[in-house]
Amino acid sequence: MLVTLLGHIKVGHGTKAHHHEHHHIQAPNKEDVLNLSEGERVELSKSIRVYCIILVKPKDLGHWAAARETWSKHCDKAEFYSSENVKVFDSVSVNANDLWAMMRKAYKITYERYKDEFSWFFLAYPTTFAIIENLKYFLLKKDPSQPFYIGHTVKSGDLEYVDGEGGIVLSIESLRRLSGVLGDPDKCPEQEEAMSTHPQQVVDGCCSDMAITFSGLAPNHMHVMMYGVYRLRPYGHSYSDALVFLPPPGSDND
Amino acid sequence: MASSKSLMNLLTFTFGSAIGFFVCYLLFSIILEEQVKIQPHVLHNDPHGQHSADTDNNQLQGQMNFNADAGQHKDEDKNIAEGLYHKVKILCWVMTGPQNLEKKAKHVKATWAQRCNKVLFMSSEENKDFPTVGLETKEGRDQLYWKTIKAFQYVYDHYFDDADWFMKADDDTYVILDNLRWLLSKYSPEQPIYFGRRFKPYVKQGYMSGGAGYVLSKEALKRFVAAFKTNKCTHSSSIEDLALGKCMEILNVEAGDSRDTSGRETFHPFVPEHHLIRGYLPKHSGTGITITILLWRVLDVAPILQFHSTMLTL
Repeated sequence: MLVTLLGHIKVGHGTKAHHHEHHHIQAPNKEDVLNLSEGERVELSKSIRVYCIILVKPKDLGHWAAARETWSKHCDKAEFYSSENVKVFDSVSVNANDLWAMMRKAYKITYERYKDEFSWFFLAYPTTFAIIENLKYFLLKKDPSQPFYIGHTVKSGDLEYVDGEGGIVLSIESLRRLSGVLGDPDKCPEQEEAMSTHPQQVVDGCCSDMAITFSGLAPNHMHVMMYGVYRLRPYGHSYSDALVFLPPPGSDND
Repeated sequence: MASSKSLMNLLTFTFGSAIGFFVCYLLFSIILEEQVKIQPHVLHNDPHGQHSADTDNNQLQGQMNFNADAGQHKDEDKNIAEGLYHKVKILCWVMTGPQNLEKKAKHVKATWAQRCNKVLFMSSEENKDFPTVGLETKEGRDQLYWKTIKAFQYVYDHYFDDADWFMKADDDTYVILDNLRWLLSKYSPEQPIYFGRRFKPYVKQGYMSGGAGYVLSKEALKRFVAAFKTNKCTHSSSIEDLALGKCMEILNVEAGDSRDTSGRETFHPFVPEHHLIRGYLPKHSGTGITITILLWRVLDVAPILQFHSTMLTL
């Protein structure tokens, strides 16, 4: 087996087998996109559809409300998968208590329901903030029928994995394969491991103008981020983006 | 007699019910947190003081170099903004103090202040390394107006010809200079006018909130400085923004309207959350001052385009 993308998965951890290739995401060329006709560009932007899975628990109600009111509106479809049913908000109840178990169930349910409707799946935690337009921009050149698994990769000894706090992106092919092995206790053990902590220092050249996610946000911060990303702008700066990704109708805070 | 007794009973019952209703109404209105439009008892000097959620654990450890990835900006067209930078010259002076240089002023210097045509940091003491201008005053809330007068005096004496507009900001204010230039580009610096977040009470034409920052035209600065030589305005006051506002009115400097084309405010005296989130209640800080800002009615959070503003940092 050359590449087993999902040999061994834990909460917030994922590894590929020794032969895996670590892709660095490159944004598509603007020239390539500009060479398309207007109609083709609209087609292109509509062709990328992202389904968002947000794992929540009743204790996260504040974050849940904020995510619901802000960035998740820009997913083509967003659903909240909760450990248990909560009256205040709609959710898919997975009846599990630890994140890893919740994640497995969410992936399975999602695959069964939505495998024909979406090509990309984004999993987030309540404290994640995502800019879906920037995510779509980066996914433009990726082929969803390939097993992609994307996020903020972290190295820990031999292990290289995606840190869940920053969000996890799966192509439909990854989700398909994942659903296949999730039931297998050898491949996917039950226990959860501790998450790594985040360093406090700010690093030179950290942040892209086209950043996709931030994590550890308080609910109030989500509202401020929403305002900052979608509404506040400096007069006299023009970005002339080649593509426009519109949020679904009804998302009214931008 | 039986009838008067039952009348008494009836009265007692009615009275009791009335009290009951009243108490329940109070309880419910508190529980349901009805939003009431109340004239805010704003602390003129410090409407933002209580928002400082800065504990020392949250202090930034390092500093970000915003220019490290300058190559990413190649698709951005900044021509209009650059044009305005040269056309509308703004001198910013930031009110700070020795104890805030590392905590606050440093971060102002690393971020928005770089977009001013000229920036000065005003402190009670001179600091050659930072650098700050020493105003030779004491520190403290009651010194704010005196510091303001001396700061504007210093700017007038040394930099009057170097700018068209003179902006005062605190070390916990964030200013989006591009948008400020857009506002000011429609006015002449020879006009006696100043802009900020206008509050109505106490001064007929209104006065500008200190916390949100304010900007004087060249002519306004000239008149303000002259006013102290001729004693037209008082030198001392414990309420900086109100005193300045009164002085401006005496000098016939107009209190300009800084709202955008949709009538929305662009200068904000509080942190963004306060303005953006319905029902937001700030935490009280542990200072000696009790703040009585009651439930502030937050306006609709509807799409705002062409919005230029100053914001307070988190």
